[in-house]
Amino acid sequence: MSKATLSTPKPALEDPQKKKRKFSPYWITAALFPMIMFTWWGITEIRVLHPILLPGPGAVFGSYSKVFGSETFGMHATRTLTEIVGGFALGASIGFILGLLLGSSNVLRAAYLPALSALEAVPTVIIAPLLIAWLGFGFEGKIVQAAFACFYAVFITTLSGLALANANSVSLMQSLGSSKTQTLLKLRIPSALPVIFGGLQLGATTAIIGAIVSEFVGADAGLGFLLLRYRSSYDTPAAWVLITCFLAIGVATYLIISFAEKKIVFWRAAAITRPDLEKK
Amino acid sequence: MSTGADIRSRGKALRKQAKTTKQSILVGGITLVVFLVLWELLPTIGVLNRVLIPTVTDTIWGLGQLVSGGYWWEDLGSTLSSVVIAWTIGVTFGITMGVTLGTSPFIRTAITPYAIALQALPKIVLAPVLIGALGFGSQSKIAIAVAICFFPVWINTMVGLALPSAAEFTFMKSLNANRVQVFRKLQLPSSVPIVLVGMKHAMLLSFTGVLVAEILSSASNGLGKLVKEFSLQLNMPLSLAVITVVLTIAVSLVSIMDVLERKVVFWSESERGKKS
Repeated sequence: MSKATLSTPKPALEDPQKKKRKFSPYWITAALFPMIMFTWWGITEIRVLHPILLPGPGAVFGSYSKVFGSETFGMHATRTLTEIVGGFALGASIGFILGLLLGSSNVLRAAYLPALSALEAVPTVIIAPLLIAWLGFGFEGKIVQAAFACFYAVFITTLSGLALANANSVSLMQSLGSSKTQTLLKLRIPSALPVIFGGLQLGATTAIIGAIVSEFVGADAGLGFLLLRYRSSYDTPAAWVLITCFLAIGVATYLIISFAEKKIVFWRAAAITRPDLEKK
Repeated sequence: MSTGADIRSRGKALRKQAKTTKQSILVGGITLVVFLVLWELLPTIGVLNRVLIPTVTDTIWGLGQLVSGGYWWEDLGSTLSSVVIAWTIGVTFGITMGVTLGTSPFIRTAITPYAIALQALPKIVLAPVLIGALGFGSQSKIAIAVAICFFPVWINTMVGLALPSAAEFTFMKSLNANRVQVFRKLQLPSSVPIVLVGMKHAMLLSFTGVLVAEILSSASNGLGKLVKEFSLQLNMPLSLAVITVVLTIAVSLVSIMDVLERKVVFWSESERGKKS
């Protein structure tokens, strides 16, 4: 959500002369990349840190073939992706259902919201050692951890999204004799969807973090487990390759959810490109 | 204008609200009692394994043992001080980055792709590498927490500085305000609420970072290490006791931030009232 605001240029601050500028800011974006690479290379070349602690770009790029070529890489990657997807699906479903329950009943909301909103503050990683004792080193514990990490974002956005429905539209639905379920399905959930997608976006990030952390704490397979193994055998370039893998997973998740949002909440995309369609 | 019907309907609404409150206290209370009874009963009668899932009384007893045993104060102090130090560094760094990179729309647009990439990276993966580089002490704990927690402050500062509308910028310009004045009188006040939200988020992330570092590295102390060790020893009452302490600290830290937010951003109180 913040990204959209970030990239919006603000014409008011600029002088009229500046508007004619041929120089696009994206040239700076492009120029920064080689500069960052060069600085990285320079730092490792003059040995500010030992190469084992901070390998140079050459060593890292050279390790890609080794890491991706190893026989077990596919297994580890599948394992981690299963944990992330499974945990996210479980956590998002629980969050959505809880949000629906509390959003459609004032009594339930007043009864459970105080306890549930305390979860906003909780660093969920703390239960990772507990889950290992309860569920072992397999993927079950990781799924629970990822679900626990991500359910709150989906829950709270569902709950606040359901309250967003236009009061006039609610009266209209009621005057047309629609039941509570019909109002929920045809009005309240659709108007909550844009907010819920914000929660899904945030929840996906936390689900990834949950899966990685619980693999770090104790696992028998997975990319996080692999990263720790490379690190402890002082193969730092390979560890950095895995860090870029996690970056790719993060970016891919963001793009997939954005795509789904564009397809499912299509009326909002229309409202953005055609502001005249959006009625106040 | 308050007619009789108006007053009557308001009274009806108030009565309805009071009824809802009473019902919700009842529902909440019943849930709590059922939860506690099940938690106590199921491990006792053997439906759940009592070694793995201790009863409520076991956990309370563990909490007493933890607090009376002197050894954990050092761990508590180490965790708390690391969280606060990392948060302070992260917030300072984040605001500085936000102000230097956020005041100019040109630079903001230029670095946005990098900001998005950084946001997509689950920064916790840097933990093993940082522990490798900085050792098991509190430096690596603080470094990991800073790496995780500065980000929302940075982004929220940039977003906050861009928040005033174009008309407001034009207005400042028409009053012949210079850049510093625009920043101080327009951008800064509008960004404070959202920066505070970032700072609150950073508190949670800083806590997360410190706990992960403590759980991961073998030689350091702290509450994370305690949970890990107790869990490995299958000493579950003590493990749950430490988790209870962590929950309490986390909730209090965020409550402090909430109070601070309300005190600092007094001018948006009316807005807040309107929304809720």
